[in-house]
Amino acid sequence: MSYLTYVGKRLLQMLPVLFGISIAVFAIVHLIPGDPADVLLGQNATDARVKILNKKLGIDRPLLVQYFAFVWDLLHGSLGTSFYNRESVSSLILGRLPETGMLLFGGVILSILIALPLSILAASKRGAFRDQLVRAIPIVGLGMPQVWVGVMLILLLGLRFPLFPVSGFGETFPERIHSIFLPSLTIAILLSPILIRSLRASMLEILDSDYVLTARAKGISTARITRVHVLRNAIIASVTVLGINIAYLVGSMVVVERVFAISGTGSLMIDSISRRDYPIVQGVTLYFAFIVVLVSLITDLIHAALDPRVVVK
Amino acid sequence: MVSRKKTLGAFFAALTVAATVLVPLSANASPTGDLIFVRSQDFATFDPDLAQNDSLFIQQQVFEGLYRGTKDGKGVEPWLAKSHTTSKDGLTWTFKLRTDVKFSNGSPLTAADVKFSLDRATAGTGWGFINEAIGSVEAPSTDTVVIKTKFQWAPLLADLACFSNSIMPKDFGGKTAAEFFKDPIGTGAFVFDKWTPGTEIKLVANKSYWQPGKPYLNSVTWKYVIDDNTREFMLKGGQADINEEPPATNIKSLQAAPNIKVGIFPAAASNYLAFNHKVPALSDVNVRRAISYAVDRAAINKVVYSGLGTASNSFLPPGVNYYDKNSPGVQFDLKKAAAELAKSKYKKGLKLELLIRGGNKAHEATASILQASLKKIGITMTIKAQEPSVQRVTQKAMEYQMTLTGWTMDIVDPDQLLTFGLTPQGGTSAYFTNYNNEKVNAAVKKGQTSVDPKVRAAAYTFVQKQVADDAFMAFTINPPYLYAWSNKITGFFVNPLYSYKMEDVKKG
Repeated sequence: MSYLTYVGKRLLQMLPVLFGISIAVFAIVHLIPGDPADVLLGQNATDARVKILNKKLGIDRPLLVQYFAFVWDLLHGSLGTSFYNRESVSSLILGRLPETGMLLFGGVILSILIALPLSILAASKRGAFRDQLVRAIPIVGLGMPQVWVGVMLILLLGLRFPLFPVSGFGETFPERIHSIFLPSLTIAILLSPILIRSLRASMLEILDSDYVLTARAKGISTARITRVHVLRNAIIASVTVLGINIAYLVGSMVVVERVFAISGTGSLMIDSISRRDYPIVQGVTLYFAFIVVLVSLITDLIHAALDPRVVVK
Repeated sequence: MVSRKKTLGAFFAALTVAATVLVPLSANASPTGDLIFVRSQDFATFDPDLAQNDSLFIQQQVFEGLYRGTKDGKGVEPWLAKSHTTSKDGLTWTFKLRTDVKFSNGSPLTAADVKFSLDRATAGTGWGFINEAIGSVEAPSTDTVVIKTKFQWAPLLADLACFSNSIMPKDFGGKTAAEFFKDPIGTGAFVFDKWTPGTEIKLVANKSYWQPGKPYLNSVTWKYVIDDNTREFMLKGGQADINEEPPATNIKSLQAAPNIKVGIFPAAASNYLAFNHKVPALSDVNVRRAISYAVDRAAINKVVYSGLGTASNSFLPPGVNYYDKNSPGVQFDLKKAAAELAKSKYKKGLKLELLIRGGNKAHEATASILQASLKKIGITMTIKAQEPSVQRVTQKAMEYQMTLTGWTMDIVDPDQLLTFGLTPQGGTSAYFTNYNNEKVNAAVKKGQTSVDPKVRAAAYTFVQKQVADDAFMAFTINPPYLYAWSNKITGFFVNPLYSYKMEDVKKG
């Protein structure tokens, strides 16, 4: 099987997954008790006013009719219109993408920048003090709640030493990099421990392998062994770990978005759930599902590119 | 000496003249300063018919009405209207419009615009009920508007001051409603600039605003920041100028912070403990009175509102016209509570359930305080939390026993709340309680249709006493509106109807 056939096959596999998700999303959204009219008309709305609104929104129709209308719109490239602010759902989601994308990207880059040197440091001498120290990081890092880390960073680097803005997303690109740093760091502090653990473990495993021993016997320097033989092989396993965790992060990013007042897709989702804004909840969930499927696809593709055995399997 | 005095006099006279000439000139200087609000609610729409608290404060900077609420919230003052006269039978109201008002697109305000706006408001499925007394609106000349009411209707001016009766150009200036509300045109001090849903909305100064010299600010932006702490950090870090609704528990630390001012504004708002009168035990007036007496208002005020609110004595909030501060209400008294319960069928105690909004700290604290005091008189109260939207649906369906609710006035006249909250005509079974007292209904009707303030006052005083005696709900706390702002900001004021006018605000 060639690499291209592999890519094609994986892309085709996405379709039934997304279709299944569309049904699940629709069903779940309509199962939540509550009423969009309640949010739109306020607490004091009379029954008569609620009825008029439900008819206008089309949610007085049978569920099956609503589902087909939703799929019909979807096939025509439309995710519908928000109940809450009457904006197109696609443009609302697309408008939030730069925020979420940059935050995710910044978080991943910073995680790698933190994890890579630390794992090399730890793996270079197993059991030494520096190894113990690095091994303690995941325990501490994973134990801290995101909200707390975010608030502490704001207090320290936003207010005590005002080096970074406490919130927001900025207008120009340098401003955005500047304002995205603290939230990205919050993500990195929580993501890097997972990476450190996986990288360190696989590096140690590879350092014990026969080919590294052979390389040592041939008199190749430690630096070169680490770079060429150990790191490249150790990264393969970590790419999968990173991929799974990015997919997981997309969903949990809402906490970071909230603390730093960044209006990404995560906060759009949470707001829309409490407003019972069905079209947005459906749209964002589909989009999240798409991203998760896409990230796992990309992870597999990178994995396959790094390790040719995957394609053959 | 005389001549010197004269010279001095002449000098000061000249100075006064110069000052009167120069002051308006300098006041006409172009607006400066960009003000940033942070708030926990996301703007939704410019359409006044769909307005909720999330959007209406912002709408009110763009649109204005014929009348508006006064600073103390108890009356209205002419705004786009100059004056009015009423016919002898009280059914025909003739309004003269100001002639110096222009919309932000440059076209002058005319009676045709007013007729269009009021007719649209009356037909509205959202707030149209405010105008239920309006029979017709006519525009006999460019600056005259005639409103005919279906019956004598005292609250008309208050209704016209409601945000739902905002004035817009006739036929939306040739646009469709959807197009118009994306880029609205009003007579207000600010005009729409940019909206990023879920992030922020920005208005800029209306250069042709009719009040000379105003607004002072170049722009106002409302940023949607849902987290309480983040809003406070932004204010302290200088990234925001005004924080809308800081939590009451943070007020002391904000008051201690340098460069920050705290505003505690009296509000025409009330919190209630609602009873479902369909529940057999709660259809017993003695049980309802017992529970009302058992509400420890001082403790709730202290824990939930840091002592900033006041214990409620009436169904009407203070700051509303005809609010009776001497109304006895029902106050915390466990002895009286026990005595009332002893008079009921439930001498040996009973079990009740309180429905609250999950995750709402005010509800949770109120519930546990109430639970503790009810236990002392033999009522076992369980607490059931539902997600906010679900709680409201359960309340409307009347599938609750007791729940926590509240009200904020939209107009200065008490009629809106009383008709809606007490009578079957309000369309909500007396605020979803099923209360129905013929005497109260008659008094509310009398207050609504009588134009004599004395008659109205008598009717409303009776209503306030009667609903307290019936313990139709337990009136709990009147919370204030809380705001915190940077000390660079001056002129910020919120009236009891929860409305603020950014044209009076300065920065720097």
